[in-house]
Amino acid sequence: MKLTRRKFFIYSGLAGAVAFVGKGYGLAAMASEKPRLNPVNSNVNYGMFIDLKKCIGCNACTMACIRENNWPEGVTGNRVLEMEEGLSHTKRKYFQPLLCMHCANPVCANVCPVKATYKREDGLVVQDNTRCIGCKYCIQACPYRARMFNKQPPYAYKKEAPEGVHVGGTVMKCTFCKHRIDAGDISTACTDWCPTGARVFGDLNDPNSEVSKAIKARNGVQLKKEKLTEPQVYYGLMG
Amino acid sequence: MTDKNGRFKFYLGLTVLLLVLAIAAYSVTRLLTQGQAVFGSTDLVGWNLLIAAYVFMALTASGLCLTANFFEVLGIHRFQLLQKRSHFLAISLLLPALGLLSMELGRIDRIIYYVLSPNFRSPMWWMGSVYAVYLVLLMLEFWSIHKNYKKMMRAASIITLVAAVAATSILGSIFGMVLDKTLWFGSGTPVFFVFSAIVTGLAAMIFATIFTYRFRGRPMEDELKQAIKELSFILAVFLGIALVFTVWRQITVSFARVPDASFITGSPYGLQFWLIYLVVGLVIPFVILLRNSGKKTIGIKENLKALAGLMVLIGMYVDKHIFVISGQFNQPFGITLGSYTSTFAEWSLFFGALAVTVAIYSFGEKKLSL
Repeated sequence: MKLTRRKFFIYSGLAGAVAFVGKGYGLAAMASEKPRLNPVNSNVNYGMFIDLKKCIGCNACTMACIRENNWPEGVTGNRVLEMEEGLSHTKRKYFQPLLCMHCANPVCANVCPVKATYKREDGLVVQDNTRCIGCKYCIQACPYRARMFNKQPPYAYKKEAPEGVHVGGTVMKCTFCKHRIDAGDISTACTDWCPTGARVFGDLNDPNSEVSKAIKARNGVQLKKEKLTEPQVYYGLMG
Repeated sequence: MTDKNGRFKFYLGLTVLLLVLAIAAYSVTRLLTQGQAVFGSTDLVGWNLLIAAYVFMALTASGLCLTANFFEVLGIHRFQLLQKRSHFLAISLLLPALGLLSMELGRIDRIIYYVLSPNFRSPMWWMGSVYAVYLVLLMLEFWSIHKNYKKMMRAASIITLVAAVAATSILGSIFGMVLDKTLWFGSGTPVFFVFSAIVTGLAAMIFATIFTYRFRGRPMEDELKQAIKELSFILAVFLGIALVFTVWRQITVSFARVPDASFITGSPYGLQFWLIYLVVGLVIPFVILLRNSGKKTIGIKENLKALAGLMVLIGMYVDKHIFVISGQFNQPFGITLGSYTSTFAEWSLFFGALAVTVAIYSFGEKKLSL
């Protein structure tokens, strides 16, 4: 088939039109945030403080998380590790809750090929499970083992979630109860349920917030600083 | 070879192929209906045998093209008679490899977001995109070879060579950029992947060529025998280099007391590393192929060369399996070490992908005058 000038211009024009329309759909698709009751507050930076001296390992936070988010079987956004510190003759046990650190430099967001996980202006690291392709690269990259994969059937499984539905074949993690924050309730279920007040949640940008005061009072530290992720969850050590 | 013998081989091969494909199809059905619970991967060891198999097949495909085009670009035309077969074998490997990778993804239906919502910072995005482009280039180059379009062949060989190096090194960077995994992280990983691709590609080229001629009962032409002999020597040299790399790697991780290294040399992969990767995959083929390097024109029999190539392929797969899986074992905060056992579903999908490779390659061998 001989390519005439007329055909060349027709084909080029068609290709350009397809590219233009496709880009439009692409830009629309990239705006992944669903409508919220309150807009994202870019002046805040949400974070958490966990006092390991107060944590008694009751796992109320784990139960709260599962109940609040209606996680699928085998998935939880929070878990509590049983730890030990000290020398052999002075060893003592303590409990360390583990959840997504909502890092300031989230490696999970860097490696996700489709931007299904990203850092929001208010400090939350969001997992968009309408876009996740389940490649598990974020699970590999996360130094805190905070992410879990939902092994349920990819197309048949649906479970009601605070926002939308949980589907099979996607990665899940702690959301800092994003649905509450978007509705104007600045709190997390794990913080509410903790019987000893070991957890404090709030705005790290506000020096007068409860979480900032707690971090200062107990010299809160970040875990695995050497991984350069700048986690926004601070821990008060046993000391 | 009598016609009756040929027909028997054909029907036997076809039966085995269809059986393997049927089992793989059954595993695909289980995967879609039961989810990734059919795999042995966990939250601590998220990437499983399918990723190791994909890496192996993709590296072999890249290596085939790398080596064939490298000689062509340098103007060494005596390996041209292997070029068509190498390229078609690369296509035969890469297509099912990408299919295998899609089985590992939780939601392949959302792959459209690769185009709609690309993350240019992600090594995985670049890997998927570059391999897709590389596959198209590979097909175009094969077509130009098949049609004997000389000018297009020359241009395509340069472009595809660059694409092969890019794709292979980007695949290595997926692992090399994960700071948290001590056995993966580092700038050497992408380079190691390119080197490994060359070794695997050479081995595949030698094994596939000799095996095809033996299976079809055709005598090999003298020029082809000479080309295979030279490639065998080149492979022997690369195996020697791989041995040196392996020795130095073990010395450095032992000296620095890298704890994760024990997963490879001790438990649970010690036997596979020392016996299958090192001895079967490197040492024995190195010795076999090195015997071929004498000044006398009488080389070792082609069957031995094919066996050496097959052993290298097995050793290289085991190396990738150990690399991918053991790199995930170490856990922070005293969390119990990850463990992993591959499942029947994973193996059946891997063998299914290899069966598709054999099927495509056999079609090409019969219809496209490779």
